[in-house]
Amino acid sequence: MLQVIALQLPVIDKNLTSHFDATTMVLVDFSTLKDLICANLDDASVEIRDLKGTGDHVGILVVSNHFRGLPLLDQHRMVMDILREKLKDELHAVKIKTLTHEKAIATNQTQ
Amino acid sequence: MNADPFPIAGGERPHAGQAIEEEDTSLDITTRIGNLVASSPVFLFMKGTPEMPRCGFSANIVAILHSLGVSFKSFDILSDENIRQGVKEYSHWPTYPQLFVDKKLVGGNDVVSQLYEEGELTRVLGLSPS
Repeated sequence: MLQVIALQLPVIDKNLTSHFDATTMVLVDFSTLKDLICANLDDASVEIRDLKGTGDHVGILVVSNHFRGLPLLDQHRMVMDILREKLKDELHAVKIKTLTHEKAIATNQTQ
Repeated sequence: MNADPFPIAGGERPHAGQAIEEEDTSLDITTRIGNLVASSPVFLFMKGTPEMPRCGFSANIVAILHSLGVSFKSFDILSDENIRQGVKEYSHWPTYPQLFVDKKLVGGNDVVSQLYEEGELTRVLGLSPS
């Protein structure tokens, strides 16, 4: 039985997003999100993707050296704190990815 | 000698993830949550159980932990509204699933997936790199 269920488990899906509990669905202006992040992290380069074409599921890649030396959880927390109000009201789900500039170059993830 | 984390199909393997179904609900919520995360070095608050996840993101972390051969305990937050609300305040993190290691929040699906992709998760889990 366990074997069968194990086979049904999805492969690790890079496009999965985190669910936020009960939010309304409103289209989000991506450039506003970008400006918000850049205003808080001065060296940030930000890439935002509409994951489902509905405007409320977004993938946000933030590259900034403010993340240097911080555990990944704290890096994601920094981005979530910046987006807190937006996450409450407008975004249904976000997938956040954070990198330092060195790491972005090393792993070829610059825009 | 470590157990083979990738047993061949049909081979015997104990449940790598064990859902907690009974605990003392008379205690205050912070104590209950503290007891839960202390019950196993690796602990997952998820929707559903490791055998029957009820959310793709919870299933994803279970699949990652299984792929690393990690033993863990879990709690189905859909089964208890007090825990569901309480853990969010306890960890200051708004979403599920939430993976704890040594009573500390490691992260949700995004963080755990990124750590896994970067090969960092084994270090975080205290496993020796294979």
